[in-house]
Amino acid sequence: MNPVLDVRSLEVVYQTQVSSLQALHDVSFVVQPGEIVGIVGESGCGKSTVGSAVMRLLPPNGAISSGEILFQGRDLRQMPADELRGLRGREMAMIFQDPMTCLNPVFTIRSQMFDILRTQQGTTRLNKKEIERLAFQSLDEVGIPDVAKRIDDYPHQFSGGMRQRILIAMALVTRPALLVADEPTSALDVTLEAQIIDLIRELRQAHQTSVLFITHDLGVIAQLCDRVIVMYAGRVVEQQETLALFDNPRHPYTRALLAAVPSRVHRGEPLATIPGRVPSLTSLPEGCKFSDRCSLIQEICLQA
Amino acid sequence: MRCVLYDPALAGVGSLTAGGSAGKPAPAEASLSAQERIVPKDEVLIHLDNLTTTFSIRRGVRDFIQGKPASGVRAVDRVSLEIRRGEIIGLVGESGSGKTTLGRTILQLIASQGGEIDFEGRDITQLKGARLRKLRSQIQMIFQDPYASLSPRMRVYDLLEEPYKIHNIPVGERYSVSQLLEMVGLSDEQSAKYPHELSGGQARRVGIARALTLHPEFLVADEPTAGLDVSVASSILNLMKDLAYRLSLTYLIITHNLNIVGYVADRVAVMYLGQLVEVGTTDQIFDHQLHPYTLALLSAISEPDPHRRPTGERWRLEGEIPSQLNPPSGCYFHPRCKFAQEICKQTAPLYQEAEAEHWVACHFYERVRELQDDPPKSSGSALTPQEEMPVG
Repeated sequence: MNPVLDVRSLEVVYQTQVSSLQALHDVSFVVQPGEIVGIVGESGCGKSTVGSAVMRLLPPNGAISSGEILFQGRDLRQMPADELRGLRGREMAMIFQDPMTCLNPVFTIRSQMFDILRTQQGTTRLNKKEIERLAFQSLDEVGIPDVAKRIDDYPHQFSGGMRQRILIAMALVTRPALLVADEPTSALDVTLEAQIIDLIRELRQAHQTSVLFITHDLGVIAQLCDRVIVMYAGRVVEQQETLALFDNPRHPYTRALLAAVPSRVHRGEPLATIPGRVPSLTSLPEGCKFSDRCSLIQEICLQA
Repeated sequence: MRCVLYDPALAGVGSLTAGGSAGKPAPAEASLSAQERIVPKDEVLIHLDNLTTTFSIRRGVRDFIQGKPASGVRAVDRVSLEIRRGEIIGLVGESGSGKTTLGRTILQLIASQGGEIDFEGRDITQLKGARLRKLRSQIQMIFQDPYASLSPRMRVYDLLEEPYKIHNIPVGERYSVSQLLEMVGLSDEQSAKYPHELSGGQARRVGIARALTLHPEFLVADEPTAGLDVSVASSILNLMKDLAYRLSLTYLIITHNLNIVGYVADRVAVMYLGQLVEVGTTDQIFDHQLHPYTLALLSAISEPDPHRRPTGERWRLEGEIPSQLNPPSGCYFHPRCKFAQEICKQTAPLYQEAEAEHWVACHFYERVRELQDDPPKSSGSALTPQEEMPVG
């Protein structure tokens, strides 16, 4: 089966006033249909940049300098803008951390859902009744209670957890093949996070949607993802099936990261920490980018 | 009992900065944290008795004319709790639980409207002026957002000296800036920096150092690791544990992160909509919960272990926390509780000591207890066969 997403040697550069920063270097991975792939890493590792690059939504000062992004076999870098617009929001969708900044506060949910369905109709033109049916179904599926009444409410009339569900409904209403989720649960309480994780799992089951789940939280990765990509300083350091990664992490950074997560099993011992700090992209060490913090360092690690 | 090496009030300033490794505090990652602290279980440091903090909502003109009473939000609702000297107690709850407000009320940063806070035999809710200021040398807070709580116009050394100036502490009783920085694992180079020049972890360490300047006995830490990368968060936790041991500190750690609590706390207090619903030792809370909300909270944690994914249907707590302006009748948790019965709607449950040192406010805590001892055998039951939590 062809992968939904095939990223090959992706390089992304940000231009700042003083220099250009290599945000991503040689990033390659694949997402199969129906798979939930997690991208995990600490701040500055480039995980959000991967999500934005895949959606072709990099900020104005960012650019893909090399590599390929194949979505269902089509190269997104070569695609003309209007074709991309047809894909984005229909075949590929994205949800973010803060739903309030993504929902328009002056329009009702009905209005925003209809907006999506009207503009993303694809080849079949839907009439008003069909649009309404799809919207209702989508909101109901994500657990919005009393849809018929609440669809006419404004975003501020919903709680944080509900808003995130609405965003998910809006992202999935067109049944995209790929959902990119950038830290969707990081701002939510534990019980809400669990609800959203269960929801994503159910939706994947129901519609075979592939999910690229970006997070810093190893707990969520363990609970939700089939495979994991670990990133550091703009590079992929390890990719593995989730069980294998947690049982047998191979890269020193992955091992250090897993050992540093606080939990009851470590009670009584000092938590493992990683000396030093995540490097700034302007001052990466020569050779292996993790070399200045790694406990297993050898001569060869310092060479380019 | 204060350690002579680190309390200049006992040994005189200079003993820490004198050369040689004997006087130097060990780095946070070293073996001191590995020693289990002996927690004396008897001496009560702080006793909260029916503490209530209310935020009033201003009435609109129309309501005023109609004579409607001012409504209020009971952010802290009749909380009673004993905090013992030397312990680390975790205060957990989700948004709207009132945990941050409780922390601030204990410090009297917010005035309470009812109940008492007994600290070393006095009710501190009645303190004002100079006496309240004196309290600051005994109870301190580590704020959640270090950048917001450190003046952006002051360098680190100013920030660490300011408390001494405010309280007129004679030089002989002060920690030096070097000593403070060393205690929190920062180098002297950081002392001339402004807060915005510090990383998240460094800023938080400065916040901790500042809280330590007046040699407090009790620290309230509000979300000490929020927003920090994993490796930085763990070094902050190591530091806090280390300081607790070396300086004989008592902590109240406010957090929504149960993993932190599981790792570092001796006891846990669970809050829901302003009320304490369960209090017990960490083992009791994690292995033998009595309150349905605690059960739901623990089953919702995303454990960093893919082998322990919930099997079958775990109890996924539906809905969200109700509005504090209009809390449910009887037991606040009843609308979301799967054990709820008619009585739960009518009568608020008593907060009682169900087992030794294990307090709970629930009419049906025995049913929750049964769940722990006796997981249901058939998959047809509504309750999920949960895997055992690992012990210790």
